[in-house]
Amino acid sequence: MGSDSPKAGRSPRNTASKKSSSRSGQQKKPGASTRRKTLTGKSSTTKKTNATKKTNTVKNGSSVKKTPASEVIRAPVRRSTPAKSSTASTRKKKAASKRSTQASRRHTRPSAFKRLLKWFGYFTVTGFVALVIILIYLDARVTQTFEGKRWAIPAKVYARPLELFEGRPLKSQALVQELKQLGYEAVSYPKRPGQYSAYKGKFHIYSRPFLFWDGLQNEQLMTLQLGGNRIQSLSSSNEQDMVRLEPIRVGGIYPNHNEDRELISLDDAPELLLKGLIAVEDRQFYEHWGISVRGIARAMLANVKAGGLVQGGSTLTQQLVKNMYLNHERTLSRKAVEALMAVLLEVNYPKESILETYMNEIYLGQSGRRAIHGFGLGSQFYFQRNLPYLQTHEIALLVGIIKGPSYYNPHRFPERAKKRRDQVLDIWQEAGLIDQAQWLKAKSAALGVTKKAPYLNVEYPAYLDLVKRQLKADYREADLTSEGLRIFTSLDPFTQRQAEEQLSKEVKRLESRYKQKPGTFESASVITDAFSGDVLAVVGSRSPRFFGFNRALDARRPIGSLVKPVVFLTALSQPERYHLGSILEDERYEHLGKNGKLWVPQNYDRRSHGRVSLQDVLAHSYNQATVRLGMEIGVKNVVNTLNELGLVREVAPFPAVLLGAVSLTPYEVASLYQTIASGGYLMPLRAIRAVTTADGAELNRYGIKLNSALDRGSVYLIQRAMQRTVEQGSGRFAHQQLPQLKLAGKTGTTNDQRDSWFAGFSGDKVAVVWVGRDDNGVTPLTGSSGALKIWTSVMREIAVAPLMLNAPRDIESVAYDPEAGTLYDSQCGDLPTLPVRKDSLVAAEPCPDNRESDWADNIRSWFSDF
Amino acid sequence: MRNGLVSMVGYQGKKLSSTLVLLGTILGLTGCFQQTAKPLAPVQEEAIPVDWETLADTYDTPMPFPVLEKLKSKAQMAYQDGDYQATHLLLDQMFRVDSQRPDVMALKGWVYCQQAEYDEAQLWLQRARGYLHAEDKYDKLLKQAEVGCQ
Repeated sequence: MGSDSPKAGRSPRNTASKKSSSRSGQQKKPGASTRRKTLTGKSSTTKKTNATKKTNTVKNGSSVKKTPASEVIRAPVRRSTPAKSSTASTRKKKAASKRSTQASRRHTRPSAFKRLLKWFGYFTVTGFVALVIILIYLDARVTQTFEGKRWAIPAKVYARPLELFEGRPLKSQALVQELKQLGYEAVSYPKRPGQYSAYKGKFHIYSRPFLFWDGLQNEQLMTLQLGGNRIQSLSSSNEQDMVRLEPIRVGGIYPNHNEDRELISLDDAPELLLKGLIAVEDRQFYEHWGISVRGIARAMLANVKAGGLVQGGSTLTQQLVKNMYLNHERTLSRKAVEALMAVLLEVNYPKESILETYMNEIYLGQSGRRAIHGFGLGSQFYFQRNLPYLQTHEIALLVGIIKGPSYYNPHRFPERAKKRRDQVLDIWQEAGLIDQAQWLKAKSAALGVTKKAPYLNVEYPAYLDLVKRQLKADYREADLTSEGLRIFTSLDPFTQRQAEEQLSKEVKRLESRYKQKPGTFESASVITDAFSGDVLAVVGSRSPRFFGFNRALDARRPIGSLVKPVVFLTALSQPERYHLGSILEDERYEHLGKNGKLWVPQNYDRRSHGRVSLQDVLAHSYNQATVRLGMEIGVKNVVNTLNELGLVREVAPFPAVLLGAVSLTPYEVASLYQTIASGGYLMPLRAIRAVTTADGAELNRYGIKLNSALDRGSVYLIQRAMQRTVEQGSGRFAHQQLPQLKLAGKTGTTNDQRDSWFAGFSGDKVAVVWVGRDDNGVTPLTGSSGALKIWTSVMREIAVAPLMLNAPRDIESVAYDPEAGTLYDSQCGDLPTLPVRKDSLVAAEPCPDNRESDWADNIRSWFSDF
Repeated sequence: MRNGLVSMVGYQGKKLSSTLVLLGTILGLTGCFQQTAKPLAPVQEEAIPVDWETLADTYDTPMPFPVLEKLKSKAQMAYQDGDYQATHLLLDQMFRVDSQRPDVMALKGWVYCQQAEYDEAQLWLQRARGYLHAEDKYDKLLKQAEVGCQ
């Protein structure tokens, strides 16, 4: 019945559904499902219904259709099983039917629990894979930083060591300042390194050991007597004739993060520090694997008991990880990473290594832009002593500070710092690290930190700038900021401080005197040793601590009359034509430039002075006579002399150069005047004496070298002329203040008084001072009224030796006529005398007739000829 | 005019007579001396060899600070060891203590000479000579050193 036989093209599903529909049409049970989806997705219900309908129609019809014979013969259809077929296509259809059944079973929705399990499995696997990747990454990060070079150790820059020997000129004030700057403690009698006593010029000093560029100098006790600004006697426990105090550290060359540290090994650290640190910060240090659950729990209990935060739960390893690798965010994720990295660190490295690293990494405070890391530097910073020399209460303070270097800053919050230190001492006493007596003694001791004197832990930015520039020729930036090099310079701290103080004070005074707004003027100064070329001090600003524009090295300003000694030196190098008494015309001078403009230089007082001797032209800084002279000898020759004196910069030989239309820095001017002061010997100005590695192995040594020499006779004459300038000319204020020093120098004032200069020297120092405005504005200052005042104040403090000029052998002293400039070939009665080069005597005349020489003059002249 | 001639003659006469008197006295004294004194052997200047020792010891102005002698000894030891850098270091230290000692400058020049830095050597030797008179024995020594360091 029904269309049960499978026909070509019909799907098995359709056939099955058809079969079931015919069955259902005949024997449909209530509730039985008659809906089956065909492969096309269509419900077969319709077909079943149609079949049913067809059957019903057949049945309901009055006429009953006869079953054809073929249908009668066929076997009856089973209810639930498809009809068996012997054909291959039937088997295929069956298989397809089976698959269809299975497929339909797969689409049956699983239970919620199973889904949950499934997703849990996915997450677990994914999470595990992610964790492995993270661990690999963190492990690489941990090991990369920990191995090899862990830190960028900045280079340490030291001042010159103060050398003490019998006979040395030394002011008491200078010695005391040096000792204070080194952090020496003033006591009644020194008992340990870093102490001194002073009474009526008698000093007992217990020096600290120090590794110099030429070897180690051990600690020693010395006694010296000062008197008359000299060391009158010196004795030392090491029986040395010369003793050096350790050099003051004046700065460092830091990496970008400005961290500074003094590396120590575990052996360098006192045992109390090692044990005490562990007792306070991480008691289970030797037992845990980076994180300590017990530690966390204990810390919580301790904090609850104390009613505040007295203990942290982080291990030393975690703290190290936080400091070395991470930031200080207080987030769960950061904490989780920290814990993982701590474990990895413990897996990779031994405890000793971790502890040593911690001791060098831990942050202990700030000094200006310098971040103090590690106990080695912390010890020096707070106590001006190396770690092995610290006492119990001092070590306790350092350990206590770890919790909050700013909060427990002993300089700013001594009460808090003391309380914290005492907590640490209590912990140590409980742990048995110190006994009762030690505990009581330590608790009753004062903090002991070095008082924050204004000159302690001070940096000198302008000088450091010079040091860096000179080092760049030999070292890479990376080496300077990371290898812990030790750089020994020529900086004289006393000279530097005096220069800074005087400059700052005098600039303010000038502003007040000339009714200028505070901050109107700026200033700079460079001071060198007259004979060695050592740079003793560099001041780049009236605010010397400011790491800003370094005017000493970078402010190029017209030098004005500072160039005149160079003009006259050039002239004196032609002794047949010029000597100090040569008469020059100080009259109106006109020069037509190539651009068609007429240049008419004026004197400062707008007057012409007629016939004036060469040395007086220089002394009074007359422009007209200088220009005439310069044009006679040739501007190019003057420029050549500038180069011979050490100027590297190119200068175009315009006539205006003769009056200082040359822009130079104070450092460049110092280089020129250094050559004159040294007697004509050109030597490069040097800030560095030696460079060693962190361990003291020598890398470079910079000795005193000469580059070339000018004619000594001419240089001697210009020195004499510059001395006259200070005695009688525009620099006489200095002579009035410091006549005993017999100073030599020259003032410089530029157009509209925009720049005020003075450059000069004593028997031991060369100094250049500039004052002006950063905006190049007009000032009320001349060289005499401005820079000279500052220069004199500085020299008063720092200059020790008078200028004693040593005439070279080609210089003779002869009589001359000041009016006519005539030289005589001998001394003539009471005529004034003049030092001249022998070559100038070619045109010398015999003494004039009306200048009788008595029998003594005859004898003198006879003997001089003999 | 007559008065002018008289005064001129008088002036020149005075000058001539005083000179003659002086000359006569000296010659007389010299003649007496020559009669009584034994004839002197002609003076022959011995050529002083130029080396560290002569350069260090010939300059006879004593050192103003005792420490300089110690430093000089150390510098000599370093020089004898062939350590020129250390020698320069010690000489520089001496120079900073007293920057006007010709012997220190001369020794620096000498060491540069041994290092075949002849230009530098010449400058230091010249600088040293600038503090000496022409007839000074030490100056002659330095002049020899200059010649040898070319």
